[in-house]
Amino acid sequence: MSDLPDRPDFTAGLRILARLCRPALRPMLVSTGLAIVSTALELVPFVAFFLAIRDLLDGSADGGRFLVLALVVAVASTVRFVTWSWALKISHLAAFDVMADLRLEIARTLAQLPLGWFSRRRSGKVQRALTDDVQRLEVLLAHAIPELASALVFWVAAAIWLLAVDWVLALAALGLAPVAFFVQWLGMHDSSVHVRRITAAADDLHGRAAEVLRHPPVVRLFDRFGTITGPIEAAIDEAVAADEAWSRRYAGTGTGFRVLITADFVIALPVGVWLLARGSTDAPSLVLVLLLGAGILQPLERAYRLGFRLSWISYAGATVDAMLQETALPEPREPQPPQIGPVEFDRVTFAHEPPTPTVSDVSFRAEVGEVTALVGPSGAGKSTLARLLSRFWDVDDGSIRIGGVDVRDLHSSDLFAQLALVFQDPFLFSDTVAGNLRVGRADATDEELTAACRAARIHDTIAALPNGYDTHIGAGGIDLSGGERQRLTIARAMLRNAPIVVLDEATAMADPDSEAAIQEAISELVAGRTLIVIAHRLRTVASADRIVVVDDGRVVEIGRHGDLVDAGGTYATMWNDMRIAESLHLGDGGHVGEGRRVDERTGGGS
Amino acid sequence: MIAAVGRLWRLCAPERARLVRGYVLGGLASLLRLVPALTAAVLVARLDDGLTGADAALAAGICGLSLVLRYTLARVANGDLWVLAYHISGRIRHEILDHTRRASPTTWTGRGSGEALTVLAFDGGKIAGFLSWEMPTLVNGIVLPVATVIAIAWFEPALAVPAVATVVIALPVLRFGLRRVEQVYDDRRRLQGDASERMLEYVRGIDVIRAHELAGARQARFREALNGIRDADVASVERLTPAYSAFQALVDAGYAAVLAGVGLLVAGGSSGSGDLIAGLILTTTLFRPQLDMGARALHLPELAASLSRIEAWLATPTIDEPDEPARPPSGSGVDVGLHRVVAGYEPGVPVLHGFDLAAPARSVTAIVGPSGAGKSTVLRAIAGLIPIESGSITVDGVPIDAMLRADSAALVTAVMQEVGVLQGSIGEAIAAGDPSVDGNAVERAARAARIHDRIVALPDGYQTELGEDGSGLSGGERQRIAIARAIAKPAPIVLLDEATSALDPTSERLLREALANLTTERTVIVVAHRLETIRHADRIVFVDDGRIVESGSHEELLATGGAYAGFWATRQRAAGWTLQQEPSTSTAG
Repeated sequence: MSDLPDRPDFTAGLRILARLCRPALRPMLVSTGLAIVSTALELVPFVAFFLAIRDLLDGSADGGRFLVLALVVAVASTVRFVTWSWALKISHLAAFDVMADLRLEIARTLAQLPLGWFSRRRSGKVQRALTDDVQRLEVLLAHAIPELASALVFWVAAAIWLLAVDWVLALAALGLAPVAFFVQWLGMHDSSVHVRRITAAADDLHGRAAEVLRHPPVVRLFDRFGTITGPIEAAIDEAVAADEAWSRRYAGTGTGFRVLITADFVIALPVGVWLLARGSTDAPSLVLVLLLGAGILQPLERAYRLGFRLSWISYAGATVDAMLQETALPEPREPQPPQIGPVEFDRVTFAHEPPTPTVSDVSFRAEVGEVTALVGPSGAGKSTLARLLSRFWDVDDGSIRIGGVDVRDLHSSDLFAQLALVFQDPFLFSDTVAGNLRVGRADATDEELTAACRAARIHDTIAALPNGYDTHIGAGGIDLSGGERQRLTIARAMLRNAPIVVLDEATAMADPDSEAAIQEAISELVAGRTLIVIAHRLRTVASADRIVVVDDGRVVEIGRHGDLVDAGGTYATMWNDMRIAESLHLGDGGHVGEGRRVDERTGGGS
Repeated sequence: MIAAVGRLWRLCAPERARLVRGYVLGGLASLLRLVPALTAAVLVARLDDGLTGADAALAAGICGLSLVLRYTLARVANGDLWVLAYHISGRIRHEILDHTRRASPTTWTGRGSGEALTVLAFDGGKIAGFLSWEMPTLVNGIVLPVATVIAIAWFEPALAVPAVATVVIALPVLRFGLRRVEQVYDDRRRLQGDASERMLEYVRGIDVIRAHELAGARQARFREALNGIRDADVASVERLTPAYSAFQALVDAGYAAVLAGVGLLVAGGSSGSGDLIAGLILTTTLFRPQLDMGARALHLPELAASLSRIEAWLATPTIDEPDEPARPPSGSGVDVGLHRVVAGYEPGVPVLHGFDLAAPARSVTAIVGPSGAGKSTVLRAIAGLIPIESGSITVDGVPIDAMLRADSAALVTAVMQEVGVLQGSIGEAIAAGDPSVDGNAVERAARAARIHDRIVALPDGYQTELGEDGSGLSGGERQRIAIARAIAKPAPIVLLDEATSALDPTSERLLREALANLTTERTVIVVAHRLETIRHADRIVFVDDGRIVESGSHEELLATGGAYAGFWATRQRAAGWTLQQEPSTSTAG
């Protein structure tokens, strides 16, 4: 959460709400109005007590009149809480609606972002924004606005009344509230340092604990000296230290606010008695100011907790706001009609983190009906090239064309319609098998589903599931193995029937048992299409029509397998390494000594 | 519901004395709220007698002093309590972590890891919030009204009756309301759990949604999920409001009750109007703490839920250490034996059914077989990651159950499928098994694991900080770090669960070299997915359905023409396969 602003942006939450809560404006006004009525009724007992005391003081007390007053107070209490719960119910319902709208708005924003946006960020952050951060805004709408607005409006109104009765005395009774709020401001205005530290510590604890808990073997075998779980201990201690630092910081002002906002009588009583002794006021005015002064502090007391939460809320608001401000994938002003034709990379340069280019000056063609393979060490930029074609990001220089049309000149729906992407560790929805397959094509018939699944070598597996194609998979359903998931994705890509197919390490996660099946599935997918395939296992792509060898972001060789092996360049080295790797056996350690090292860096990359 | 507070109290046993001190100080501070009210009551009751400047000075003195004293006490109480509350939640989190370490790893694999995480990260923090915010309010809600009622009774005993009656009537309503909250809270959690899952699926699958232009259709589902969340929210508000409002209105009706009481006393000819006035003034501070308490009590069900999870987690069984632990074998070569081992991930569902294996010192034993045969389970049993239901596992004849857990763990080093390189510096990651090794040893391990050159090419070398799950390195590099870690740990037994993911050829070659270096001079038990790796193993064990089907050397097994030979033939066919342009259906089947 290092990208949080330095100071709590108290307006962020309000800004978002101003944009989204137009439909909620009426209910919020009604809610605040009801809350004001309710807050005003809160004063009825104090007024009644004033009247009673006045009567008792001047000796005109009448038991019957008191009973009538008591009845009025009882009715006021009932009405007060009926209106109050009504007000909060309205504000809650409005808040729920606004939260749903806000989440939908985030969903719509996400649907327009370039795909690359998601790979740079952990989906955890988006998920947190969608759940926790939006949830935090609920407090603002459901509680903060009606409660604080009514408290303030009512306080001002009552203050005017008191000032009219006796302005000196009124000042004595009213003066505390501004002081209390000033103290609260002192406590909160630089809270961002603490909020950030606390949030970061909580995130770190969560992240480290989640990571360690995913790896029982590492804990069992390598934690003897606390090297694995030690960092969780440290994260717990930091979380405690962060909270303690904030507690120490806030204990003074927080307590001050709380004490001042409940300090009924403390100023008004001595001042009132002094004025009375001087003859500058009368007894009824004193009693009135004393009682009302106490009564109108009551609603403000609710600000104690809300004020404390507002800085958290404002951070949540800033995060959500930032997400809604993300730049959508730019659509062309005049989209070109899509053309069937070769995929051309023309002097493509792109940097994930400028100025270091991830790929530079890459040119190659992938012809229709041919298999074009991208090979090279990991980190060489192969996946980046595949993703540039689907506009995960846009190129910094050069262009990528499909049938002569720059991908940036295609409407994104036309572009995506031409592409079928199969990446490693594919995502499946929590849905039936058939539902997941129809992601590829919504109107596919059952026969088409079966045909695609047969071709993808997954039909038999599906048929063996408890409910066949209607079996629920994913969260809460049946877990498929990595290889099975990949074949299902390939079936999905087949249904999509797109002219260009991009396979990025589509067999990388599979165990050898499913690997053969996946590769058969891919063969079915190739027919009559432009296939761009990234594969580590060179045998897989040895028969490709064109092998593009990428190293360190540049194309170093292009050719067919035999030519490249003969050329003795990067590809030949990789081919050789593969053969050595195949010949190495466990227990051979003595033979693989320091003398026979190869440069590890060529196998690395970042 | 009050039971939740009691359960929390038990969890706080070590800090109880300091907590009590904090709540007592806080309680005293809130009692001081009564002092200005009392002063006002006394003075207003005497208004008829005429007040003097001396009265004003006295009032100023008392009120000022009480305010200063109240602030001081509250400041000390809050400063102590808030810090203490976070300290307690830290201690409980340490306890949870400690318990997790001593629990069987099967407790926190799969679903259990999510529970452990919730307890550690979420529930542990809930406690602090409750101790520092809700508890003081509950204390105030009891202390201040009781003191106020006593003060009222001191002026006019009869007036205490309506004041007390209000509380007596309102409290059961609150209790009823809270029971309802508990239900509502549970229902809402249940309803929202599913809906939230469906909502988050949209984010997790956003790349698929984008690439397939599914935004419209998926947003409809997303909206359904949102409606589900909203309905649960609305239902909870609607079910909660009546009881809670009734409680509030009943407490607030106390003003009317006291006023009616004064009316009856006046009608009955009571003469002490000063006492009545005092009673009325004091009543103004009577109900606010109670309303506040009611509002905070709404959080009790959340606390109860968190406490239940913490208690349940701390009650999961831990692994017993032997009473008289056997000494672990020493020396660099050890024999490993499995004797009729029955083991699995859940009690009563064995994966290994009486598994026998003898791996002599410094030999390489390979376990092969179809997926789901129980190959990895053998390694997990030897590593002590799953409990053994019957049979035994011995190292040089000593059963591992007879040793201390730490001693048996020290005998084994491993590279598992989930690489498990965690965040932290690379140097620390390699030295994890034995942090006492020096830089030279770390470097030797890294060289043997073929990762040293790559590390020193990084700007910060061995000090380079890795992100979550070792991010910052490629998959092949992470695997080699894991191998370096396994090499650096001086343990005589090596367990190796070969990763199935493919690497680029050069990385693959470096990885193979690294593995070859890891497996010299130790007792190696390897689960191999690529049969070429283990062709030269001393013994190959073919496993199916948790039992050994056949064993022998590669050549022996091929000559037998059994399960292994068939397996080998299938693999050879798959390895010779390449992408073809024209699909050939002849290979289907």
